[in-house]
Amino acid sequence: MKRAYAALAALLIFAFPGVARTQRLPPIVTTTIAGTGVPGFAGGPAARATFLLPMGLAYDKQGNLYIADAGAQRIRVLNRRGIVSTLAGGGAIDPRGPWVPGAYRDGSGSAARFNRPTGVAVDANGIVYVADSNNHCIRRIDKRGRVTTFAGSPSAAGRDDGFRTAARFGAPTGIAIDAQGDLYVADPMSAVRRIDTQGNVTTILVGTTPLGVAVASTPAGTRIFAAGISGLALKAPNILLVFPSAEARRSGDPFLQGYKLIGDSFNVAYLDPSSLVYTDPRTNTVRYLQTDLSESRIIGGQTLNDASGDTGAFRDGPAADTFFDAPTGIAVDSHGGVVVADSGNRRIRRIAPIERRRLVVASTGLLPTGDAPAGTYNIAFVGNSFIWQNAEWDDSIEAMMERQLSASRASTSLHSMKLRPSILPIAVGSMISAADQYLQVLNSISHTYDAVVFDVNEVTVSQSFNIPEEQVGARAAEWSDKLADQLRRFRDDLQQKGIPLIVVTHPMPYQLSPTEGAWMVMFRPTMEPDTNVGDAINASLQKAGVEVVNLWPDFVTAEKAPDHPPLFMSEDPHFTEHGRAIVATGAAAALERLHPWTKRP
Amino acid sequence: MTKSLLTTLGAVLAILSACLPSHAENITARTIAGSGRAGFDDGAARSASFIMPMGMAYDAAGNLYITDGAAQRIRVMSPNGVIRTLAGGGSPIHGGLWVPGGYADGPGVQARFNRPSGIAVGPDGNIYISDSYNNCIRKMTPDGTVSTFAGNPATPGLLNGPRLTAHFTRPMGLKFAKDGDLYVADADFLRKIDTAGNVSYILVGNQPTDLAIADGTSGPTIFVTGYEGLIVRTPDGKLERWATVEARRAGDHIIQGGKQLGHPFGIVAYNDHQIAYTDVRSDTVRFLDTRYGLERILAGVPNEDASADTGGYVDGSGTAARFNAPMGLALRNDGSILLADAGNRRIRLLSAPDRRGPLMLSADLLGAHEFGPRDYKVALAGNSFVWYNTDWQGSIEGRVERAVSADPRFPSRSLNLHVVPVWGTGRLDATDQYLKSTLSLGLFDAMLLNINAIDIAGSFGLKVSELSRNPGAWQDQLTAKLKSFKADAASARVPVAVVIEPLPNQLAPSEDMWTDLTVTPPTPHDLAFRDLLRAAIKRSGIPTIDLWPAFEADMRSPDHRALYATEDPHYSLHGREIAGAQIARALLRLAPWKNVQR
Repeated sequence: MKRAYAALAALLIFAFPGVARTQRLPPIVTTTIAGTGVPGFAGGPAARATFLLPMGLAYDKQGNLYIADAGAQRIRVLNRRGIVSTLAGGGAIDPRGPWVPGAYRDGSGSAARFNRPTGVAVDANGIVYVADSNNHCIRRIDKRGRVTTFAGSPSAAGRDDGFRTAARFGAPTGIAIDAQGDLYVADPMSAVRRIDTQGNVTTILVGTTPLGVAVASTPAGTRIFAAGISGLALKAPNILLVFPSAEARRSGDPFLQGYKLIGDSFNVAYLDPSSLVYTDPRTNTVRYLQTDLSESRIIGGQTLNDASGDTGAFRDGPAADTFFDAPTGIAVDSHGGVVVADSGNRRIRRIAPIERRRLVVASTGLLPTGDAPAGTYNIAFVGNSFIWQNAEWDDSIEAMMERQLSASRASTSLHSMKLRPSILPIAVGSMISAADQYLQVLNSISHTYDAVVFDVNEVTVSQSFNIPEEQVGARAAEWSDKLADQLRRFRDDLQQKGIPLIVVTHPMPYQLSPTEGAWMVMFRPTMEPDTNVGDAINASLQKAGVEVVNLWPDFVTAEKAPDHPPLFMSEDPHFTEHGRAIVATGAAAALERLHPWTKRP
Repeated sequence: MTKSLLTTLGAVLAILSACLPSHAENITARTIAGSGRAGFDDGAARSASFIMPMGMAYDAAGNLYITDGAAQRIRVMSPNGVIRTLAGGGSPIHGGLWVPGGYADGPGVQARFNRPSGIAVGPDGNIYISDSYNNCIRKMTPDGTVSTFAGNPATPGLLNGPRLTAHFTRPMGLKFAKDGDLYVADADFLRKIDTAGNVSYILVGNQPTDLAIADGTSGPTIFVTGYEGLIVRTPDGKLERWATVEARRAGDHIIQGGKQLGHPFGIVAYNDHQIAYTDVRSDTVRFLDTRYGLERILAGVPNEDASADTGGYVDGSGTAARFNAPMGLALRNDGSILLADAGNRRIRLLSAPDRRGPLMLSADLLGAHEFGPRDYKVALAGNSFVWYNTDWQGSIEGRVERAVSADPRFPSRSLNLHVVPVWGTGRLDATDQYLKSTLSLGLFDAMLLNINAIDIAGSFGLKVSELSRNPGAWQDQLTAKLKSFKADAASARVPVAVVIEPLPNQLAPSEDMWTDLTVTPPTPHDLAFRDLLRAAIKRSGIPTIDLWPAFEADMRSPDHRALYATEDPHYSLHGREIAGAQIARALLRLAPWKNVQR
């Protein structure tokens, strides 16, 4: 058993908290929570308050939002009752421009002076730390509003480590604090620095020209996220992941899914151990990144293909309709809403909590343990790497299947059984042995799934049976029986648990037509049309005697239609939305026809 | 016109618009052949069918030869729109979605191909075909008799030598140069089969898919598309690389505005700097002017993430049109482009792109511009419109030209207004020289000088931070230069004015935010310098067109839009809108044309 778990942990497996998602998610809506857009530093009710250049954001334990206004040279507070006030900083507005000239002075409240405060962090006791960038130092504001210089020196920029004011900073821009009270400073002129609770400044992450930093204390240790000119970095014990910006990409650097690039990042906030949100003031967008899945999407603002940032404007509404102008600071409120310092719009915006329970990388600790909510019928969709289909959950095969199964009102439908479908995407890689291992483990633990749908085409025959790709068709005799045996064993093992197995088969793009996956096919000489492979797989399925959903005819019909949209991406063998719809419809129809839920023990 | 003056002018990098379009470009796509059904039915163009049309070439009589890489056939469409099969055969399998390849020389239907892709008509009138999976080049007479011209289907490889002993590996596009040499995009090489039949390498890399040749006075320029992007081989053998985002390396050419090159697949060249290409990955057709690094999508819509989930079949205007795996292109005499829309199993026609754009002014080109007596040419100097991430329509010059021309105060019955973008070097001396040269040549009828495009600090050997502290080092000298320019202009009877505009970092730190953040330490918001600059212009007596009030008002409005691009100090679309409107207003007020008698 333990070995099985270890084997399982070695696989990349995804599992869901079993929450039914039968409805399309409501759009993520952005609202303005403070600022009129008029330049100024007026306090009062949030809707009437004004800002000049809000850049840094941080919540304290009580839910008060601290705002570093780099144009007003002030630290502002938006309290829980929605009132904006000035905590520290002062100076008159320059009549020639909508900003306050920067200065340096320690002192109390409005007597203190800052010079382009861009980052802010609050510790557990309510002490506020400010990255005072043009003063090259970190300021400290106690609970009575007294401002002192905590680290670095306004009179000298530099990168020396050392004790507090003996250390030097260049242009400290971002600041964050961890649960132990250690401060982390993003200084584009040096590195990510740490100021520990003793006051010692050390350099902890060199490179990426950091502008923003976030830190999270997780059971696995402290995770540091750094945003900056060369990209987004994640540093954790034994991990250093860098997602480079377009300009900093080198050959071999990772791409985000669908060959996306992360954009450019100014600051970052933490959602959970593997997901974060960040601002991209270059394209005027706010983005979400799930580091373990390399999945990124835009949750606010709109980008141009050319990153010229010619989209800077102001509009609230659903994500796809919104505009931001130079979004910089970012924080997450206690409800999971993403709060953004929209610098160019002189407002504080809030993006409603985004849905991020779609996938978790399973470890043995996260494996579903049979505690799925009552009233759901749980179907594992094995071998479908939906995350690589460039799809959001709503457009995935699984979500489409859920919608179709929920909609049926037949006497044998899930609805008539008072059950909701929950489809769990399980990616097992391309080796049949991995699928085998996964299903074995699944069988050895308590009841998890009610039914298993297995997309056999996710298995790469050449890798699984060690046959050169171009010979797979010609040497079908060597692997066809083995595949059949394997599938038969899957079915028998699952059957012992009363879990039905349905095997889905469909053409690969190059088996369907050379214009499907065209970009890929044109540069891959081995991917010639070869129906032998498909025929041999179908023969194996016949031999195995498993329940088969053969989607070849559906795909061929769709491909033959005179005005068919592409069924597969041009650059990789994954489905387009049109292709996904065919799989979802076919698989859901097969499940409805078999209605295994009516036979559930 | 002295030679030295021309040389001086040639040395100044300037951009002159000849006759720029004053209407929006409207590219349309329409289907001219193919029913969309998979097949190889002959007959009238719209009812004939294809499986995967890939390559196309015209002969001198206007017959269009088309390779069908999945039907394994060579088709021809006559000028009157009738399609027939010239060579190749075999029965379809798999629901008719393809025909298995084969290899056989012989007449017409007896011949067999395996993925015929590239096609070209030779100077001898025969048709040459890249037979990709047969690893060879086939030759077809106009009556359809097929032989093997180069390579050997049994032996893929890279061997050079006499054509029939040489080896090829999956050849795709092929084109003839004017001198009769045949160039072939093959595996990882561009090959050449010279007129004596010898095969050699021309360049290595890029996994070429197609090529285009533009014959110029100094020799052929060769454009090679492939996996990593576009490689341009100039007549002197130099290579320029325009890479896809995945393949980009330091030193590669970058498209203006930091745009990404698409993934070029099939290509045609209009000349040695203007090309159109298909992007099979994003289902678009694009146009690139390598001289300016200006690329635009002519038709189709890409996905930001290049997932190419935008494939489809729609005829219509450029942004409405949809394609599915567009592959080969053929250029027609009127500049329109034929497109083998492989996934849609159709041949589409794109109307001719507007290729008029800015012209690089050099001594060579200067005399080539013929302006008539009705042309009224206003220079806008010091405005690098080509770097504004825009096309002519969206540029300041284009906006001013349209707005003034449409205003009743402009005598559009007697004059055609041209607002000509002139890009200076940024140094005062060079700009001064240029302006005076143009005056003596009588190039322009009026001149506007954008003072902010001049690097005052650099021109006087100062640091930017010294400008406001040390006006004595530059202010009077600038006034003197402007005065002398004004005097020269007056004697040439050319009205002049100076434009002054805010720089983003003078206006607000949120403008040009990315630059502000990434250039450390941040540049100061130095308004003292602005005031000194204003005074210097005022003392010269040249009229000022001051864009500051309009920009400030917009920037302070609660719902202002970004006025500058975030990554460089150029205007956003909104900024250009304001600048264009303000300059047009000022020009109408100054009415420099009022004393013109033509």
